[in-house]
Amino acid sequence: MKINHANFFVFSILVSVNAQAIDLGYGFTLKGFGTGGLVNSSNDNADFVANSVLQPNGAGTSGNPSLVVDTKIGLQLDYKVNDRLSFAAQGLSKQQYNKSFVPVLEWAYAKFKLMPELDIRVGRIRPAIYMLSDYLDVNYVNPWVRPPTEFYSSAPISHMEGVDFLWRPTTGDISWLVQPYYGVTELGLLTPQGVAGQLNADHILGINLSASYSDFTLRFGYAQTELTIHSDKFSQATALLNGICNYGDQTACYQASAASPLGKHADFLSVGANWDNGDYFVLGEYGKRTTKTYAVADVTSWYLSSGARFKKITPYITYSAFHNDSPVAYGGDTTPGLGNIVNQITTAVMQGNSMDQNTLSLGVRYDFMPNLALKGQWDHVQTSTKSGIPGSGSGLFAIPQPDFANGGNQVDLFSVTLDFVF
Amino acid sequence: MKQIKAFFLAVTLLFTSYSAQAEIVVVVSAQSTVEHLDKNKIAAIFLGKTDTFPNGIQSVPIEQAEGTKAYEEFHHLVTEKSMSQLNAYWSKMVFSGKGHPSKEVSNGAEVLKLIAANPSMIGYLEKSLVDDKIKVVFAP
Repeated sequence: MKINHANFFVFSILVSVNAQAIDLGYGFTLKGFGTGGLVNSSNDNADFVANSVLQPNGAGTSGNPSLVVDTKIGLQLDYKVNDRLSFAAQGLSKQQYNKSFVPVLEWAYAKFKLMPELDIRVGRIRPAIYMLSDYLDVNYVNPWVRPPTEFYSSAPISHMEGVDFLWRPTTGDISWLVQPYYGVTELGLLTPQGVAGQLNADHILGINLSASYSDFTLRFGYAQTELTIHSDKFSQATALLNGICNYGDQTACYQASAASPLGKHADFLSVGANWDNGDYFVLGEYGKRTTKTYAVADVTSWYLSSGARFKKITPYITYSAFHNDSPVAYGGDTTPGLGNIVNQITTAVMQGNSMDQNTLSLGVRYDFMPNLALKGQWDHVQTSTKSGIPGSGSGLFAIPQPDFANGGNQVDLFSVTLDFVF
Repeated sequence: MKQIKAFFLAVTLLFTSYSAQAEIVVVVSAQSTVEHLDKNKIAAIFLGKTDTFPNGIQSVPIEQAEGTKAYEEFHHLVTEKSMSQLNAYWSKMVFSGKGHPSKEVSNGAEVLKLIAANPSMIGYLEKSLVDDKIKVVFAP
């Protein structure tokens, strides 16, 4: 029976991808996208995950190969009222921080054309933090098995309640996009040691600017927010530091407020470029995150990718890197007795962060049907410690065992995915 | 000798198929104020990157059905995108709420009928279908 159900599932997907969207009449359209994927990791001492603060487990310690890293399905319902007003809602099912696959509403907005080149959107929208923010989960539209993990783990705010403007003027041969946005969000995520927590990003204020000329697009983005992370780990740490502060250790007072992730400023600045002449493409992004809390490290991340299209076959190569710019250990409190405890707690908070990692990827995309792409990718992932400091070598992996976290690691991943859109 | 013959045959076929590909022209209504458009502008209109002609008047692109010969020729010569690339491009636009594929009709005769009556529309069709109700703004 089980096999019959599986066959039916595959059959219905194949039937539906042959259709170009589904026109439901009365202005309603249904579209969808998804990925089925398997990842195998060469290392059993940690789990490779697509995003270390959003995915609790993946390939490695939890088993091989893993289905949960890349598999996802999204459905979008559009309702066009007239030429100026439309509504859209998109639900996405993929592994969440709590292992659930319950669909999450990623988009749910009303869009109104204020002027021929200016739209406003109000509701739940994806803030355009990265160059590919809008379609990060639609793997079919991107060349790779998954967007480079190192760069796209830097600012994991996938949606917010808010407003954005899309202004698309043209000057000569240059098409511009000016997209300011404002909003708030609350989302579940993983805090150190894989503990579920909650993130509140208030006053998200950002801008996405891009200029396209012929095959070339340049892009600039800036976003800032007031960040609060609710997590037992962090509240215990700050409570302990405050307790020691009450004994008169001034350093503990300072460290308590520096470690606290309550209402702290965070921002992300990024630049990107994309050149694509149809036969060849080169794209890359560079980003810098800065925050006012030890709980979320300052980060520099980037990637560069290139590929060539030979009819239906597209080989590509990508290099991506993530660098933790904050200290990962603290030893500054010299108060006899208590100072040592302050140093240990502060170090533990700092080491809850993602650590240095880089990946070299080689892959091939095969467009064997108009709405289906089969991809195979090999990733060589390298993590490294900060000056040999124990506990700083886990990179962006989940569930790192002590051996993994205390040294640098080389991990090879093999992934196969099937992407579809309809 | 056989090889040389095969080579010339291949060259001849190459040119034949090339000239066969240039059978489509880009047209607007005879009532339109637009006289000529370059390839980049037409590509921008059909990819939803702009919704106006250079003179500021609204432009509404009309596609032929996906998979038709005219569709493939037009995109090969003007937007220079394959079916897979067009699918990826429109998926990006649709799933990010930035745009929707253009209105689509089933053949050149339908394009002619629509465009003749609508000065804001732009489409492409087989050269042989052109009559005095429409005018050619670009011939690839």
